[in-house]
Amino acid sequence: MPTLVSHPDEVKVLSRRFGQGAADIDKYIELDGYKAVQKAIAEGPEWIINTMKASGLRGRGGAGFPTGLKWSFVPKQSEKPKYVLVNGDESEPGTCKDHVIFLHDPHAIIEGTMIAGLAIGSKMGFIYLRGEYRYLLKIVEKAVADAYARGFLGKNIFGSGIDFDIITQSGAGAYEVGEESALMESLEGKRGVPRIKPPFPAVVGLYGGPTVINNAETIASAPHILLMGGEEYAKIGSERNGGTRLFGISGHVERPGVYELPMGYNLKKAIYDVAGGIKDGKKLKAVVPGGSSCPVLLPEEIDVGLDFDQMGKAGTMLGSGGIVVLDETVSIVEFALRTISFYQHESCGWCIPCREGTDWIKKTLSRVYNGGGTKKDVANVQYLAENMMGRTFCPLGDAAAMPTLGFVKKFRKEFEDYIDGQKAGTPIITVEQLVGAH
Amino acid sequence: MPDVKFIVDGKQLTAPAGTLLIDACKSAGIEIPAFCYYPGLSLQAACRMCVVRIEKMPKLQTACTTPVAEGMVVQTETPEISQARKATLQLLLGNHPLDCPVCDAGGECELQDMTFKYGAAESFYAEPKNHREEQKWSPAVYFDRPRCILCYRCVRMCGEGMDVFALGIQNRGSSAVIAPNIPAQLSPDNLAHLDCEQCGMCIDACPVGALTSGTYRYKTRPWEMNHVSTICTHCGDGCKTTLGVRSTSDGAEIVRGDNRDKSGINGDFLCNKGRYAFDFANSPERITSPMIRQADGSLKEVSWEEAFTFTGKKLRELRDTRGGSSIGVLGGNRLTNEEAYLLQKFARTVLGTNNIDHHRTADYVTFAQALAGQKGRTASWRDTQNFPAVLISRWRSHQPGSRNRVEPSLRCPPQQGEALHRQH
Ligand SMILES: Cc1cc2nc3c(=O)[nH]c(=O)nc-3n(C[C@H](O)[C@H](O)[C@H](O)COP(=O)(O)O)c2cc1C
Ligand code: SF4
Ligand code: SF4
Ligand code: SF4
Ligand code: SF4
Ligand code: FES
Repeated sequence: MPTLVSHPDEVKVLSRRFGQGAADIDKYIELDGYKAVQKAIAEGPEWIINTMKASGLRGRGGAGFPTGLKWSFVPKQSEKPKYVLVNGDESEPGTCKDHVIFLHDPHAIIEGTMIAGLAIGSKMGFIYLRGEYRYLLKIVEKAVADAYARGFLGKNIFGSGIDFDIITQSGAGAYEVGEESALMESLEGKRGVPRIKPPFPAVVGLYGGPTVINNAETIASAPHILLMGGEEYAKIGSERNGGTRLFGISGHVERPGVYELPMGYNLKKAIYDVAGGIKDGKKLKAVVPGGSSCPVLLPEEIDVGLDFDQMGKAGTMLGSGGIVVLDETVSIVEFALRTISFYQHESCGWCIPCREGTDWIKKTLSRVYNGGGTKKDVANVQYLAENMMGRTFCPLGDAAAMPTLGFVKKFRKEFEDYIDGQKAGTPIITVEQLVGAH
Repeated sequence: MPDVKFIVDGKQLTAPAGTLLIDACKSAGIEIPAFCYYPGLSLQAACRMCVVRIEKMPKLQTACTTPVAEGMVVQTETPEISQARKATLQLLLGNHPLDCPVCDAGGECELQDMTFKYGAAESFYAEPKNHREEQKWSPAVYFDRPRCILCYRCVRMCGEGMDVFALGIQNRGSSAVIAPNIPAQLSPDNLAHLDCEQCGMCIDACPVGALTSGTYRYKTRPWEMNHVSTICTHCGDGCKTTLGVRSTSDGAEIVRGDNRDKSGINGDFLCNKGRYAFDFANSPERITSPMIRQADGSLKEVSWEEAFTFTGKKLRELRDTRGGSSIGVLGGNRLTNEEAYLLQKFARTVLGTNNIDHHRTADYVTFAQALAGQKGRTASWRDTQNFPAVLISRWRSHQPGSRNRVEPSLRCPPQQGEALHRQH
């Protein structure tokens, strides 16, 4: 089990049970577990949704959509069954926060799923885990089995007369099925390709039924919010960005790890104070602030609050909360190549701009990297990325184009210098090596 | 549905609510380019060629998935839109072989036309194109992967249209590829095969030269043929088929049949008979004129006038000497209802016989007796499109055209004699 990190600036809401053996159901109960769901049963759906709205919680999957509002979109009456889906596909390079929740506090996800179910009137939840997280599946499956054994799941939960079931499912190893509609396709046993929207999942989702899909961290936040109150939770964060978030800080920092910081916490402080600054006293070169899809920030751009709105203003995104720190030794040409290689590999291939665009950018950058580039290649890469932006079927195309544009615009000179005088044949290291294991 | 008003390229248009923008524009004479959109098949939004600018929307929108809405203001050709389409074409052409001079689709290829229109001719990739050998999936269907633009028309046509589901998509990203139901990995000879009806609908639907017809490929160029619309004679359905006819030194030759003219009763569909079964036309064994058997037993070719006069004379003789009931009339199973009606009319009123029967493929008499005396006992083709449920018996028999019209809207695979419910 990876060692847990800690820092005084952390506000431990989600992570308060980490490292205390709360994967064990008795320990979880001892640490206030399954209290929130009982409160939710007592207070009813309207109260749950109002509390979630008051909390200012915004989806932790990347887009930051207000969770209470999302839950309120689900129609009360529905001919088809309603579903809750927990998105545990966490595959965005640099992101490793859902992972620690599944590892240390799986019952929080189960309890959160039940709460979401109560809020929308659903009787069934699915927990979908990334294919590569199969080793976590055992932990989650045990937690679900223990909850069933106690009668917390199944028929008549907590004597409420309400039934609720949870099914766990592991993916087959595709980043794209993290996209909500592709995840539903995958769960239904089809190719992991997104669906046309509208209709949105709240109306037509899994098996055609109204569905709430949330990121695992979003779901795990719900029990805490119900216990502490929406307003209290909102107060911890910044304006329009309630609560705390798990940030995975990786790359060239002294103390990489997953830290729980209040929303709006300063990015520079997160790197220099919380994560202990740049490793071995080297100079900072760039920061990818929220997973590999987010446009890169230069050292002079990192004095900014870590919330959805402030990051947006800074021309990038809060994304999945995976902060990747690059020191002066990193070649941006190589980093851009590694980034696009990921998206080229993960593109589902459904639409032309993403399928072909990621492929040509990768081919071009790999030639540049291997010493055969010309300056026109940099312009071509920019042209390709600009023509992918906003044109693809799902946001994966944007997720590939945005960082590429960030690199070639902000580091154009480095690309040109590289083409002018760099030696060829430098071995390519992987993003995993680059961002470090968590 | 009530009509809604909206503006496209400055023109005020009206269409029923729910109409797709691409269709509404087409009705108004505004053509929006599309690869993956195919009327009647499920929506894909995959090719991104149909992007348009809709006021108040942050991004370009796909006209093939957007229903028209009251007050919508749309632009379909602006520099931004042309650039988006051009870039998409450039991406497609990056790996496309562009072997138009020898490609069957050359001259009737939607990719060619689109490239011509948006001028995506210049190439700026230094890497070589991915080459793949052409595959013979069956004697009827060949697949040239590098020419495939992954519009998924073939997959949907085969599944949703024909209800056969013989085609699918394999792999992902730039490795994604159309695969037949016996992929190479599962095949004893390590080659991909197509185990299906060989109807050729997938070839028809393919906008490019990726799927080609085993009987037509490399025979001629589209512009060297006359495209003659006619009615297929192989069953009583009366589907429209378009024959590609080429002049030869000693007359003319039918080179292919297809369904480019969709105005027939068969709509989008054409079965393998209407598409391939024309080789009899040039067969040396084909009987091309009437013949009269001579006293010595041999057959003698005669003119139609002679033949009719001869037959008329003989029938009259028989009727007048032995009575009409000595004559029996058998209708063929390729007759249309109208022809069958005329035949019995002729038999009863002219020949004076009630001995009329039909080439039997089912116990039609019992069937007709069962229906007799009931109102509205038969349904038209159009009716079958609107019934909530259809009971089908002995289906895979003689009228592929009818089957194609009914089946696509059914939910489960057709089984003989099973009640099927429509997907509404
Ligand atoms: C390509 C792509 C990959 C995604 N991967 C994930 C993922 O791994 N986990 C996740 O929670 N959301 C992912 N999302 C976002 C989901 O589509 C969805 O917005 C999210 O699960 C909603 O949950 P939230 O409201 O709690 O954020 C991805 C989106 C895209 C376009
Ligand atoms: S942008 Fe297109 S090709 Fe890329 S993952 Fe999404 S749907 Fe698939
Ligand atoms: S498919 Fe069209 S563009 Fe491609 S080679 Fe054939 S004719 Fe040319
Ligand atoms: S020939 Fe007909 S049945 Fe065979 S794959 Fe093509 S569409 Fe399907
Ligand atoms: S083979 Fe033709 S119809 Fe099928 S996906 Fe490729 S281009 Fe489209
Ligand atoms: S026609 Fe609209 S995306 Fe293909």
